[in-house]
Amino acid sequence: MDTSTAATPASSSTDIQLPINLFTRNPSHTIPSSTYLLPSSWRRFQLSSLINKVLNPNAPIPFDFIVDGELLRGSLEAYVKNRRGGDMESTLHVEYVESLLPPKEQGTYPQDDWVSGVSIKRPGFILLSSYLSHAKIIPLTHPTSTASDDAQPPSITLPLPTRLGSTCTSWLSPHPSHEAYDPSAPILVGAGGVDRQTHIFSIPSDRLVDLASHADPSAGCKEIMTLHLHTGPVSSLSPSLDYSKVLTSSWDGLLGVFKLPTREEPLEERHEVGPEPGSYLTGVDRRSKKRRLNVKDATATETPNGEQANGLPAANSGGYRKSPEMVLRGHNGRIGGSIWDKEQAGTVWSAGWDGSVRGWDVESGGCEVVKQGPQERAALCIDQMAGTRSLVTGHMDRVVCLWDARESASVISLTLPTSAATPSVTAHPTSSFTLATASYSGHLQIWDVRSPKQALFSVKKQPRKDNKIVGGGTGERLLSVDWDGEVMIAGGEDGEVGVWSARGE
Amino acid sequence: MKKQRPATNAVASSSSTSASGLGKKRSRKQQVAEESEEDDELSGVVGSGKQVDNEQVDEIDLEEDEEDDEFEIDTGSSNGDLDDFVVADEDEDDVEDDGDLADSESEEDSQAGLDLDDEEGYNSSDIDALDSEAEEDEDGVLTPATSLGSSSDLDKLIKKHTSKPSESEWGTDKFSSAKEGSGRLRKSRFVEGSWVREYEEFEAGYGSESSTEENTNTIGNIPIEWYDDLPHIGYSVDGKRIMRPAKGDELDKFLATVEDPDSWTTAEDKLLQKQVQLSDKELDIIRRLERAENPDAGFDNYQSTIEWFTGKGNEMVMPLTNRPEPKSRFVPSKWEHKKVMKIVKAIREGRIIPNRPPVEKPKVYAIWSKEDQERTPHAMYMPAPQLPPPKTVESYNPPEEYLFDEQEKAEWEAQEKEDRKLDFEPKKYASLRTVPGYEGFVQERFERCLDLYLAPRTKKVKMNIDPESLVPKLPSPKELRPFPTTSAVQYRHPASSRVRCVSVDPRGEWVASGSEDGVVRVWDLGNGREVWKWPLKMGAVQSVEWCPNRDESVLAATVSGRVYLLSPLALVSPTVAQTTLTHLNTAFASSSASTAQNEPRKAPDAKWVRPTEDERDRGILVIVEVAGTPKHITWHRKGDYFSTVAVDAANKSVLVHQVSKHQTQSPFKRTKGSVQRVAFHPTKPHFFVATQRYVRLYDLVGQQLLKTLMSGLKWISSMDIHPGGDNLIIGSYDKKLCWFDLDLSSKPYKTLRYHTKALRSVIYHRTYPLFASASDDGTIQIFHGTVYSDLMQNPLIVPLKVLRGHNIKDGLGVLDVKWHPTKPWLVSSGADGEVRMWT
Repeated sequence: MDTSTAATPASSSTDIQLPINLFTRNPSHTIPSSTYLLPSSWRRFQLSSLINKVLNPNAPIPFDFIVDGELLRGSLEAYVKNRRGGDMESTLHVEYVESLLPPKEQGTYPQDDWVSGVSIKRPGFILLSSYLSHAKIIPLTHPTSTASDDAQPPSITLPLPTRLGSTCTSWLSPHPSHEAYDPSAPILVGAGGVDRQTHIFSIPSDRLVDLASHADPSAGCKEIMTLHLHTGPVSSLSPSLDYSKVLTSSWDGLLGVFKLPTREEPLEERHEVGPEPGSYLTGVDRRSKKRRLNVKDATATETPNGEQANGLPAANSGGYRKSPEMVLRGHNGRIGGSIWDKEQAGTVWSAGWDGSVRGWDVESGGCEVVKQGPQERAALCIDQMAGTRSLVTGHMDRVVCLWDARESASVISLTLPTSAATPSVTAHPTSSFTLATASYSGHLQIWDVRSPKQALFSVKKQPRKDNKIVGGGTGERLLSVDWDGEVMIAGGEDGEVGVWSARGE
Repeated sequence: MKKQRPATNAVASSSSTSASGLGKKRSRKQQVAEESEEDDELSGVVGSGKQVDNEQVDEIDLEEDEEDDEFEIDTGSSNGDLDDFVVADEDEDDVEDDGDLADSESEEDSQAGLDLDDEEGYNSSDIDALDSEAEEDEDGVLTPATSLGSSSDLDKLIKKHTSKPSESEWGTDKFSSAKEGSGRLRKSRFVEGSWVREYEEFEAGYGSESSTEENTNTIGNIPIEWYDDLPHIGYSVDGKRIMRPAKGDELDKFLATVEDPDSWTTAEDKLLQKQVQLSDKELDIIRRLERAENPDAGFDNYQSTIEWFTGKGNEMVMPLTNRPEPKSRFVPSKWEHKKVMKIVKAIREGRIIPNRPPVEKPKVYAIWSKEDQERTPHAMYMPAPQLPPPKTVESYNPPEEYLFDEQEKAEWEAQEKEDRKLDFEPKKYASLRTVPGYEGFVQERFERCLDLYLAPRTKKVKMNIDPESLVPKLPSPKELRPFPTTSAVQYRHPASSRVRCVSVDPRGEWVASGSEDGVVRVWDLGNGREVWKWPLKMGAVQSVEWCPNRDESVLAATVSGRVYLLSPLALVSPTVAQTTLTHLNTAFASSSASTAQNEPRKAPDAKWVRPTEDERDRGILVIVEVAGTPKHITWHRKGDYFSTVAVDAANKSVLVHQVSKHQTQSPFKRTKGSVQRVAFHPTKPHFFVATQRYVRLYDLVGQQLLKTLMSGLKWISSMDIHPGGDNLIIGSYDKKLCWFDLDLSSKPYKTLRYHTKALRSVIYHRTYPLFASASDDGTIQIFHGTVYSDLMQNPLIVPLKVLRGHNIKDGLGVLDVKWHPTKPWLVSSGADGEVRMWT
């Protein structure tokens, strides 16, 4: 828009005047409501400068314009011709929103196997889980744009005591800006595995302050807890608002609420449940089985850190086995994702493959709200919008659905069509309108719910060039995305975490 | 007749037997009663009375044989004779009186009184009179009886008198006095020793001219010419010929007219064939007739009035009779009541509507036609088409512009008759008078007649059916959602080796695939991550199939000569793993003991081998060594039995394995044709076997063939049974898919040919009404197939979607498809080494 010439709007006297009603939902940018007659050749830039002229701000604010849930891309005339059948007389209701800059790729962090989950909830660090069966913390300060870079950034690797892979990960300690932040407490990180268990790791509290200075950043990090409940792989985990509990969901349709060690209630150093059998055959112990699994996995992926299995004997033995404080039953089939309500403590939302979104009360363990969508619309992930508390779910059948959480009876309130199945969705932490999605087609999309027909921005992650991980295909599939309002990270089957700078407000 | 009566009466009374008296009395009473009712019965009554008489004679009067004879003859005579006979009886007088009032009027006074009574009806005085007569008879009867003097007869009589007369003897009436011995007996001339009664000459008294005439005509009223050739004209009473009277010739006639002064008053009686002299009286009648007067000489044309009821002294005191009023005058008439009730009933039923407004005739109506009136519908009513109103050009004096100019005329004439716009040439006449006759009239009528003759007017029922409406209405695919439309997840195999088979876990979480590099892989269905694999290293994996039991996790995979039972123990929960292991391993202990016993006998169908501990730890739990290369596995729904098909294993191609007992049996000693696929019935103990052309359904319990389905295909490649069990689809290498409805027939219900190359796999969805077919042309076709629970409704098949995405490699496209157990998702494997899930 900046490059477009600031040609006078009334370039030709024969220009058709269109009646346009401009409005916005942002109270700081309102202009007097009336119907303007504007030349049909006007584009976004002319409209934006018109509003700037009316508002007269200190610095010009770029605006985007949304007509009938669709972002205005060309001239008004083109829009009217294409979408309105050339009806030049009826009034166009145009909503204007502050313009966003398209996401800008900052760099990539190559990994050794599929990245199944990413988190950027702690500023400055990327937390990722990999099918190589570890969680990893990488500082964001050293993005390497080239995959061939041998210099690995200093990172903390938290290996899971399994070879089946990790499916999800999350920070379980408050970040420094949070009120519950305790600088002296160890930092907790959780990772769910295909081995049906959730592993909680503790990192020394000062480790993240100067990560690069440590010769072995992973030293001292150990698995403190293993959460036993599920009979299927863990699909998601998330901490409660006060970071005292952790919620896990699994393919078996159960939600588990587990206690996290806090300052008041430190970790009880005892096993609450017995160990799972390492082998079901008599005379074969767990370790020998794992070695064989290692052999099996070696054909698929070469483990670069071969010493990982032996390097962390503390983590390898696993943490204390804990049983859940509360089990929430109700979903039929796999649960795609689960979150804590961002405003209402003690409320939990979950979305399952049975097409339903359920709200739970953690105290009573009861299912309070059931929003049953179509049976075949399997939800893969869930998140909550910041302001409106509406829930966002990504689905296998190429849609992103918004559900109104305030009304228990209502079902899908808005449907955003995506190009492929959406395994991950992240709402903007503060904006009540924007959200980011990752899809199996490799597209990262930023949506404004006011423009539901079309994404604001769509970025295709370029697959890794030297793709040794994926057997066939291009490996474009993205599995996870996270967004803190400034930085957006996403990882997928090509084993690369991409970083974009993208603002949502 | 009147003069005769006293005599006959006396005779009758003297000759009648006392025995008949009572009966007679009774008969009379009866007779009178009957007479008063009905005159017509007269002859019948007379007949019966006469018959009784006959019997009487037989019984009593033995001496009077001759008389009897005569009597017999009499009975045989004509009615006229009988009348004569009857007349003798006095009762008959009464009868006659009844019949002829004129006669009764002329009778004597005493008789007249009785007659009057008779006229009035049944009267007691009449009965009295009859009784007195009867008594009279009784007195007279006794004399002849005593005169006969026979003791036996006397006994008979006494007996008769002392006993009550039988009712059947009534009516011994007496009509004739002939037997009463009034005549004189003389010896019969004809019969020796018999007597004939001879009567005195009898004056008939009723003065018939013809009866007294000598020369009566005895031949009757027949044409007299018949007797022209004969000398006689009929016969006399004595049987002699009545000769034709002499007839003079013309000269005699002439002379007679000259000589005889009376000859002009003669006339020829044709009947008698002679000249008859007309009497003065007759002549007088003729004269009177000539004067047109009454022929009766005694007729007084101007008779004076006889004042019977009027005039002096004849005035009637009471002009009405004092007869009691007839009952019908004051009793309400039943007949009228019935008639009224009929009307009332009709009103009630609504057949008669009182005060119905009269039907108004239209004030104006067409006189000559009834076109404006409604017609009663009739099949043959075809109104003639309406003629267009005449146009200006048809006028005898059209405006100038309508007339042809030279060019137009030439054009008109050049045209064919049928092509002309106008079938006449417009011409202008000064007046209607000058218009000539229509020269085409005859031709037109002729053509019209031809039309009528050659094209009889019948109603043609035209089938006005839109062909589109005959096509069955299929719902649009949009209404039949959900069904898979796009590829959502790809399960990437490292080397692009052909993936021959896929299978989806019964819980819908894992996908297993078997590729030609000999590796069985297990994938996360949701994101396509490979989570487990078994490198079997035994050549291409031909078939993989998850056990349908949700409590276990068993995957059966076949390679050449072997069937593996695998379980991803690390992926499943400990309880499931434990159940699986228990199920699969329990038989090892017993089988290891029993193998020793089994071996000496014949070679078993298959050998169940325990893998090494390393293999078992990795999840390879059981190996079954079989003959040939099993290319297809199918599980029984309960998950204990599975069946393998190895085409190259001859008569052991079909094997049924039992997991819990580690047993294998070959259900067929000999198979007809090479078996391609087998399937278990989803609910019944039935077994489907598809050979190259036929599908046979066997009952496993009864061990018999239930049904043979004729596919009409050349080579069946795949088969699947509908979860309901009554329908199945088969795919063939000759590009066709057949849907069989087992209840319907042994022929395909529908044959679908949408693919351009051989079909590799067909499969039904377990819960959604969907089925899919995969083909070598690289496409997967999705169909909607609703099976209705209503047996009368045929399955609904709608093609929904063609899924394209698999590449064709070496002439092979999509090799296997499987549905997700609960969602409308499809997993397919292709020759290009790709496994995709379609949502």
